[in-house]
Amino acid sequence: MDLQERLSIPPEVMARQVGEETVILHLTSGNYFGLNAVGARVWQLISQGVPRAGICEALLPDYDVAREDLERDIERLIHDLLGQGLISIT
Amino acid sequence: VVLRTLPNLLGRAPADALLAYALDNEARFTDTTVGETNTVDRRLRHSRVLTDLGAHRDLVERRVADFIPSLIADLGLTPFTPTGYEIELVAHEDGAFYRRHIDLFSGPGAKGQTAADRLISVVCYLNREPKGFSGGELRLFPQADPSRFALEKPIDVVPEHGTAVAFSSWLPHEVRPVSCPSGKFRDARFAINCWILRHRPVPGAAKR
Repeated sequence: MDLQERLSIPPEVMARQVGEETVILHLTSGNYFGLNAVGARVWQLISQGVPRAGICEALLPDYDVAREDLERDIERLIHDLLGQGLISIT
Repeated sequence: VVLRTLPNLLGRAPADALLAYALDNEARFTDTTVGETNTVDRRLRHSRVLTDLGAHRDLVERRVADFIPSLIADLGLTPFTPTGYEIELVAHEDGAFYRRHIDLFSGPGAKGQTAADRLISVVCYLNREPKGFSGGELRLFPQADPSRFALEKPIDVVPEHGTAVAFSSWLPHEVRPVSCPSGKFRDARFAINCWILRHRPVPGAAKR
C-alpha cells in the first residue's frame, strides 16, 4: 500500500451530505451506501484530494483514539470503498 | 439542505411570458410518460408535457446555470461539472398527479451521446393569478435512500407563480392531486422541470 497515493471518486459515483452523515449512490448500479460521521469525514478528505497518508493525520486531532486504531479503521473503510467501486486509486 | 428555494429564478416578466407560451401551445402538449421505456401509465403519472420551449429554453438554461455552484454546495452534493440540461413544461390539469418517484436516470442518450444522470431537479411553477386550481403540492421525502420508507416528515411545496425549488434528483417526490374546477387548460398548474445532467463517460474511455 502506497500511503502517498491519492484516491479519487469516479464519475459514476455521487454523494450527498445529510447532516453529519453521507449517503453515496453508485449511479450505474443504483446501489446506495451510508457513511457515519467519521466515514463522512474520510469521504470529504478523499473528495478534497488528500493523499491516503494524510487522511489519518487530518482526523487524529479530532478523535480520542490511538493512531494505530484510527489507521486500521480508515484502511478498512478505504478497502471497502475500493471494493464497492466507490473510489479508485489515481 | 434538502430543498433550496429560488423565489425569483426567472424573473416576473419571463415567467409571465412562459405561461403565455404554454397557453398558446395547448394543442402541442402530449401525455407524460414514465420510466426508461417512456410508457404512458395514468396510474402513476397523469399530466401533459411540452418539451419544446422555443426561444424560452435558453433563458431557463442560463438562469439555472447561474445557481449551479450554490446548489451543489447547499444540497451537499459531490462537486460535478454539468454536461447539459433536460427541460420540459408540464401541465397538471384537473385530476392530474404524479405518484412518488425519483428523477435520477434520464434514459439512453440521444444519438451520438452517452446516457445521462439527472443530478439536480429544478422545478419552476407557473400559473394564472389568482390560482385556478388547488392541490398540486410537490411532496418531497427527505430520506437519503429512496428504497426505504420515509421516516422523516415529508416537505410540501405549494406552487406559486414564478417561484422555483431545487433538490437532489434522487430524493423521492410526488405531485399531489390537482383539483381544477373550471376544467380549463388556462387554469392548470404549470411547471418547468429542468434537470441538471451529467452524461456518463464513453465506455472504454480513460477514467479521470
